[in-house]
Amino acid sequence: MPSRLRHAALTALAAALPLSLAAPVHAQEAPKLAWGNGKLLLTGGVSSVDGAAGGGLTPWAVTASYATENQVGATAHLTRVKTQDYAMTAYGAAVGIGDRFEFSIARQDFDTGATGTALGLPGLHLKQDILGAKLRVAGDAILDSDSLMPQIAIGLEHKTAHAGDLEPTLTALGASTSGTDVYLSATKLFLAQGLLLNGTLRATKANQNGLLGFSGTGHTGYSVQPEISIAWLARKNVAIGAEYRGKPDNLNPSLLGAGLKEDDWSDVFVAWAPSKNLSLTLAYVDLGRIVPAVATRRQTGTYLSAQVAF
Amino acid sequence: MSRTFTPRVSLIAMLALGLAGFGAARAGTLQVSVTDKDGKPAQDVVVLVDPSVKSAPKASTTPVLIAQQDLKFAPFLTVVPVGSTIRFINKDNYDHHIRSTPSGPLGSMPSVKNFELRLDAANEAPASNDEYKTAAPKGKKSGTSWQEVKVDQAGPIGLGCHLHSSMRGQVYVSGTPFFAKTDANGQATIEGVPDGAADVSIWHPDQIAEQSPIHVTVTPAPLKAVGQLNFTPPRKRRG
Amino acid sequence: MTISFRRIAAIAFATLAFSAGAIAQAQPTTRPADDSLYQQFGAQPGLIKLIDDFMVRLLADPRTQPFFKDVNQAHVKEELVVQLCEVAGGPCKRKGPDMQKVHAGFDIDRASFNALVEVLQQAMDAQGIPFSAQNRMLAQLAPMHREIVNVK
Repeated sequence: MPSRLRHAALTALAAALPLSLAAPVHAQEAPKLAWGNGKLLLTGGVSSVDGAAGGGLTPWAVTASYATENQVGATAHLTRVKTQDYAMTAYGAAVGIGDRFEFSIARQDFDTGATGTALGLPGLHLKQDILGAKLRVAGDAILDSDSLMPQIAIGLEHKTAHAGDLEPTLTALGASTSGTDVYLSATKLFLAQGLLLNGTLRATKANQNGLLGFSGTGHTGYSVQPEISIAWLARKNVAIGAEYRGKPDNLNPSLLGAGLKEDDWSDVFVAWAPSKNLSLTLAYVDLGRIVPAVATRRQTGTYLSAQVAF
Repeated sequence: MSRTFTPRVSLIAMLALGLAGFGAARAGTLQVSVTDKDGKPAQDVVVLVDPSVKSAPKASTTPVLIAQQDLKFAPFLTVVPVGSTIRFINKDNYDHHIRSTPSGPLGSMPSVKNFELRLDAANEAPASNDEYKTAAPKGKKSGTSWQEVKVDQAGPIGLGCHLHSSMRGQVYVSGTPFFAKTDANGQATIEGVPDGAADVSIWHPDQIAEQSPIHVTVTPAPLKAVGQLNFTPPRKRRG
Repeated sequence: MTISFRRIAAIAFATLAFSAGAIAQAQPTTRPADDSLYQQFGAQPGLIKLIDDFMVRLLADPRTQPFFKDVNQAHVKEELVVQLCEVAGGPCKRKGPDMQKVHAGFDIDRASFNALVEVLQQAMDAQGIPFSAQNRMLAQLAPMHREIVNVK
């Protein structure tokens, strides 16, 4: 071995010893999941009322949090909806893994207000727990701006209704207290136009999203409901949009005649994300008729949601 | 005329025996197998054999080619005997600005030869590399896409490109005529090594500490030697 | 599912919206038909100012700094100006190595790519480029992720 090389190598070794940190190496070991927020702003969606990431009313194909490939992230949300005769609080959390998997948990607490009193159940709160899972199966909603291919995901929401003293009534109506929604979503951001479109098909038996149980006498099967969202990126951190969500009408007709007829849901919204840690969504919602036997008018009002992302 | 055969026979016999013994005493094939610290085969390891009977390396008569292709040096590692000429050829459609660099991950092994070569794109374009109609002409064209460098000192020469920072290559100039580099299986074969004691040195471009030499005794029979690096090279992207 | 006017209207609206988007994107992102985007970026002087600022920000952001600290900055900036000029419909044609080769020597994951997009957005904000023009430029550059991101 040439002595110059030996000398140089020994010098290098002597120099290396005080360096506890090696010079940065280009190579990586096999990628491990790390906590991260690599997604671009607003591209994790907001928390839907059922807990899954998407719009306010409907799940999208995007995964929760800002975690992108090789990252893990989480979100938590608190939502308040107020219409003329009712109010609802919903809260929950979701975890996004590698921009591939999403798991969510949410609780809805629906205050029946005067309707509960009219039904002989003053102070009745209809509650529901929802466990969600979503898998992104194909596509990239954001960066494939040269293709029509959307991002596609499948998911499920397992819902357990706690109707309290209303449960015997629901049983009499042929409704059960738990059910699972299964959905398929396709989402695409048309980047050049700053326009996001989502289409979801949901197979569900839920009555009023599950708050009034699942199925009804004469309507025992799944129905497939369309859900559509459109959002325009007005600025990097502001999105303005609208949603439409079809709903089955399993409790109509029922023992109460058309008294439990239900309608589709829709809203127009503004979402603002001052940072990757916080987003606020304000919407005007139309929840259609809810127990029109008592509350005859269409329920419209305000939806306000805050989501924090980690 | 009759010659007495017997003395010639013995002389011939002696010569024959001597020749046979002479030939057998020269040839020795050394097969070196190198693994990294984790036991995996180590590619692109320089293997130098220093026999006790020293001889000067013979420079190759034709230039040794190192191409620049697809933003890479091809081959990545080139081992040449002292006195050789290396020809750098740019086979890409864009300019390269090749220069010698120190070797080793800390850049602590200075290059035994310093050079800077501007090599034009293989397909010569009269204008600058990128068409930008409103821009002033920029960049110098050297007028050639290949240049030669004579290496007259033993040791490492790192290769880089001033324009493309991810381009990395390595030259090792050998002071011994018995050298090789390991292939993808970590194997290197060196033929014609003189019999007797020899030191086998191994050198990897990413090493910090010197490797321990392997002491072997070369015989007419093919000999296998096993070496292990004192580190595990990172799985480096070479593009 | 009740067939109602509301529902029909919603589905028709959504179909129209998707079709409009689809028609707008009916062909893969190619060179723009005119140089309006190039002009919105300030033509050559504007792009040079943008990329000068972009490089400063890339070196300041800890997510992108490791990739750019050793590069030949003048060369990379020159290539970026030509690349953006070309995709914005300007009078340029980039003839250097393709995106995949240029980046093959680095380990680039999706998060790093997105980080660069964010830094570019910051640079475009600082240059006062309208949001719609920013998105049109990003739409031209975004598909390059397929050639640049090489680590899963």
